[in-house]
Amino acid sequence: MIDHFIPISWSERLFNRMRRYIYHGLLIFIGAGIVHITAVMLVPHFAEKDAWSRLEVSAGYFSFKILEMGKMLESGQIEETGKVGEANLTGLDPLFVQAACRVQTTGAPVEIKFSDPDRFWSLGVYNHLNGVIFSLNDRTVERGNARFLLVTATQNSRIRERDPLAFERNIIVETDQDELVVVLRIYAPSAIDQAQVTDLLTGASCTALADSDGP
Amino acid sequence: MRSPLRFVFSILLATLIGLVSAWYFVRSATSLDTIRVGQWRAWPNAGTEAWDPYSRANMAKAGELPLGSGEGLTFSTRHSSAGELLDARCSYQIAGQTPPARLWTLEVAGKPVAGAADAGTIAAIGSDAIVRRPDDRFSINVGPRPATGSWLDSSNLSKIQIVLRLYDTTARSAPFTANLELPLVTETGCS
Repeated sequence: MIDHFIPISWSERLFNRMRRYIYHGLLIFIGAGIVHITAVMLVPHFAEKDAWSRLEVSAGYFSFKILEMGKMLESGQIEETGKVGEANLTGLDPLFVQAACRVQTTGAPVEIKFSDPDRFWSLGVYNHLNGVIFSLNDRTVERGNARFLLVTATQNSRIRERDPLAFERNIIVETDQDELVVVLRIYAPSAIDQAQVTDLLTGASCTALADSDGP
Repeated sequence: MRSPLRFVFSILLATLIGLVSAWYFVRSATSLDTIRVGQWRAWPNAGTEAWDPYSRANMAKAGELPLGSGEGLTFSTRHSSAGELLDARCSYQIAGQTPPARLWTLEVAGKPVAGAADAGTIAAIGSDAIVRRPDDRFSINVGPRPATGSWLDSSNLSKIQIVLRLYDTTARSAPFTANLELPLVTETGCS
């Protein structure tokens, strides 16, 4: 420590001290910023009770399964009644019957098909970060049977090659995500409606097409 | 010797501040792109590519699934229009108009009271079931005691919030989000 042998003025000492404070202040500020951003970004990846983790349990695999109700509370808190299990989602509309189907698109195109409930319904396709990659409601679709295909880019080009008019007759959703959950919500405010809709959802199909099947 | 110690202390302090502030901002959900209309809150970008990281983390923690943009938009409030926290023991009137939507539902959500007779009761009503006044305005009563007209029972709940879900609505798209009209929540009495 050669510094000890060189006399330094008080102003120089003050300057050195200030520099140390500024250095540590900046270090804390930048460090806190990095930790803050990282923590916020990582929550959806590591949350164990997020919608996707719950859907993995409560959705059917290549089949629609009715979602049980959970109660939505203040943000960030999950409160459930005795009847409600871990796998139930919060914030579902109690006047709707909602069913979910977990699919994998890697193998073959996935076909979603159900008979039109003739009342308000909507459909959302979710990825593993709870994002919606595709959604629509009953007005977007012609009356009759609702039918969608979830395909990868490769499958899509194959379908296009084989049948250029496939897009006019079908709703084809292209995705680069392997695993998805399709959530179908149907308005059913009364007990009678709920029974009807539950029947309809039991008949809804969510299947992987054999790759040779055209749309 | 003192300098490395100070460095370690700075790093620890930075980590602490970073984590606590992250926890606070995620929990309070005062995210960057909230629509605020009176006391009502909504997150129009939830679930989309433009979803801000705070409400994304908040919804992940809550286990909530956002509605898709083709489906609808959820508004919620824990406060009356006067700014007071909603209390399940008080009665409220929800009156006015909603943004254009083909269907909407209004729910009183909350924590079920332990030992309540019928915890499974649904305190929600759809726009097709309410009585409207000639000018298309409506009024719904919320409270623990039966009221005339449309009434939602809050007697089995505590820590209530009112959730308005608009389906097939224009409220999500840019030019319309600026001037939305939502119903007022007015306290009408406390027991």
